[in-house]
Amino acid sequence: MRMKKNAIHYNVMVLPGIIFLALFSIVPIFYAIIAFENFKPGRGIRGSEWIGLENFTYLFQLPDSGQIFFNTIFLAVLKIIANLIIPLVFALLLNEVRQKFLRKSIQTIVYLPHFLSWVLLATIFFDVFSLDGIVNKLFGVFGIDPILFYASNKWFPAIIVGTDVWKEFGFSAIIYLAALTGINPVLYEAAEMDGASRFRQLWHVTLPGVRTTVVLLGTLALGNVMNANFDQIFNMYNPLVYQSADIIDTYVYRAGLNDLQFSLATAVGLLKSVISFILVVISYFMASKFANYRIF
Amino acid sequence: MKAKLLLTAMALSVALTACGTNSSNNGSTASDPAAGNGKNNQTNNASGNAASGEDLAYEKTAEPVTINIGFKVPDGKLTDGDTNDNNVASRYFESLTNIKVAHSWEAKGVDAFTQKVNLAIASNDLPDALVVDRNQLRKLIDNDMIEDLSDVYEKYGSKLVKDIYASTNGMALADATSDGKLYGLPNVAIDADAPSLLWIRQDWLDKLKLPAPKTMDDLEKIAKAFVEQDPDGNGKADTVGLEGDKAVVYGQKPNPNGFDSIFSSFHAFPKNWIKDANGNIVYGSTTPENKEALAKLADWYKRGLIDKQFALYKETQEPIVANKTGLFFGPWWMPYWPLADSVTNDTKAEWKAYAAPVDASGKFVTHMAPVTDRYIVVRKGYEHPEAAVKLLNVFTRYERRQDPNTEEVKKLDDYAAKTTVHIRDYYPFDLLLDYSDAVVKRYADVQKAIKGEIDPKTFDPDTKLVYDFSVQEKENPKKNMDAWKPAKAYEIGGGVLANEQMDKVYSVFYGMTRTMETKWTTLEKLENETFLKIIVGDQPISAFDDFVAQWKKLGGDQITKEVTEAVGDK
Repeated sequence: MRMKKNAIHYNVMVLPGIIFLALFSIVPIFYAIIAFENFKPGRGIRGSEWIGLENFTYLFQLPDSGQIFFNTIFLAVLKIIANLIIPLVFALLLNEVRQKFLRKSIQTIVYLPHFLSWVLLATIFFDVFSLDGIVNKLFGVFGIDPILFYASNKWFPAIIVGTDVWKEFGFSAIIYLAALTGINPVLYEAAEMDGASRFRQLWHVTLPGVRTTVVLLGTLALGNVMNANFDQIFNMYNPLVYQSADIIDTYVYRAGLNDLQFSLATAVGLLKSVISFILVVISYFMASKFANYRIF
Repeated sequence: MKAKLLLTAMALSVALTACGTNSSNNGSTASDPAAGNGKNNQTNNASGNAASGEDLAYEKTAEPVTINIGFKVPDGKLTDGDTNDNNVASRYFESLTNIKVAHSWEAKGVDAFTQKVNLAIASNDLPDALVVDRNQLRKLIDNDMIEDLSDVYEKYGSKLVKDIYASTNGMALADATSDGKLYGLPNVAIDADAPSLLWIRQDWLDKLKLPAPKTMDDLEKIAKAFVEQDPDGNGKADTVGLEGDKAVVYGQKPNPNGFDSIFSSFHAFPKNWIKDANGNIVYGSTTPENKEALAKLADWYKRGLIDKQFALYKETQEPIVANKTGLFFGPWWMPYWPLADSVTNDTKAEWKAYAAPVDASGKFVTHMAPVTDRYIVVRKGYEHPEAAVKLLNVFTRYERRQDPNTEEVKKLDDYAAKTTVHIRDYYPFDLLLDYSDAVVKRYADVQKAIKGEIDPKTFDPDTKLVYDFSVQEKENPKKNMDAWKPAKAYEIGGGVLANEQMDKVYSVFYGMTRTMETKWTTLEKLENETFLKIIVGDQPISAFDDFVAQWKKLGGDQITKEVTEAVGDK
């Protein structure tokens, strides 16, 4: 591959990113070796005793590990699906709003939550879903008994997914809206000439127009299947819902930092990385197949 | 033997006079005679005289030494441009020891500090010395990250420090010892910190015309009334009953909202190693009495007498500060925190403490805390481990009012009185050595002084401060919260401890065994989650039996055996 002369400054621009990546993502890979050791910080990586796969066998014996792997994948898959469909539906609906000012205002308002941190939102949602919070008040109007959402393993996954979608759908919709503006208006005019209703136009013109975008985003999201969002869950969960909300990342945090079981935590993290890696490879090939998306 | 004693006494008096001369000299020349004194001592030692602990303990280091520590930032505010690592306290201790204390990092609040220490351990980046808790000490020993202090302590430890440690019958030092090596300098905790008292909004109780609680039934009635009868009178059903914490019980040193006293009233002692009726050592969380306590709590939770959301709070004091609850358990010092915030938010709040609920025979039962729970440790490879010991010597001597430099001490006392800054907050290490009856004694003294039975002028400065604050609080109730805190903590909390009969149950073992090192985290997790789930009704009461069986299988039996052996050895 040859580089044009004037393209060099683009590469310089990428440099800080690469250094950042090397420092925080590539160098730490070598430290994953402590997953195979009985790691003692005082003795260092070289001085610690080599125990091979013992941490992994222990990991599979722990009653929690099945649960955390299941929770991670379950929550992530739900989030991927919801985060694919809801922004699309929203973008389609917004696209039908003909008043430009109204459309722009709605769009601005719904993407604002994307910029709020989970630390802040967790506190707000705790009040919203608490026993005397707004949701239970609303339920009270319809004569439903108050529900302790944050303590219920039945409801908590729904809250995790719901709040995540609420936070991100406005932002994700931007991509769809961009794809929608890319559709040639002539197609709509032609459809109208043929007597197509608003719904027919949506079905035959709009949806095919954004299909590749949907497929691309969907396949790319597959690489994130092992990431169920640490920030969100760490800030929202509590011991009562560990059963349904404890994911790999939060477990690694607690085992590694709170309980100081470094090797075990690294083993869990490493296993997650390996699975994630396989999924990224799969999703890349799928993206190139269905959406003709290639980097290399 | 006699000769040695005499020698120590002589050395002591020499040291004291030397220090005395220093302070009377005052000013820039003061450091020189002291340094000379130190050199003299060294030559003395070298020439064959028996080494005297007191000289070594308090002499200045010949060369200035810097020690980097991790520091727990207190709540108080310093003025006059003073900082956490450069203030009246730090300057005074540096002038005594020639040791400069630098802060590698600072953290505010217990949780933040624990996290910081964990991070330091995880990244193998320890400051030269710092204070750690029991788990961290175990990890540090296990990881071979800290110095063996046996010799340094033996050589440089002051008589006062050694005396206080000795007063625990060797328990304190044994606690920080592993394989015969002393790895940390432990604190000595006061007895008063262990019992978990029942704190109640007395104004609510009076309003609903309820009697003071004594038994479990009384407590149940009050909780029911606090939930249903709108004690705060705002017309909304926004009050909850008994408050709790997601940890369920603290087991050793309590904090707000532990259910420890409920378990104790059933003679269950979770998280403590106790002897059962047959004299066998058992783990307190696995005895059948726990099941009764859990059944009671589960029943209360189901009926809404315990705050339905108690396990969900990030900070356990939240509902107390927000005055949503008027009923919780906590040790004597609750007025300092979180009750001061509760009263600030609602000045009508009148909190009282009770030794309740009592057991079936009418006695208040409480488990006791381990004699130590914090340790000063020194990073492996630090050149001056004796610096940590020397600092402990000087601030303990100051704390226990035995500092001979009266003029300097007076200056610090005046400063503290003027600014309400607690000097002890700025000791290099948050580690106090105290005789076990400190709180109760101070309470009794202050009460006598208020009644005019003794002259407050005879008090040591700490007691005097509590007395002054108590008088101030009596004259102007709730005007100055800094006065309210100590006044109420001693009056209410200290009062209960001093006046109520308590059955004190001591754990027979606080250390760690070999199997514990690998399996304890898992077992503790199992225990906490089972207890919590039974209370909130996620699991039936019968889950307790499954827990006991699983606990035994997952290493509990082996650990019990090891503990029995360890206790037998003593």
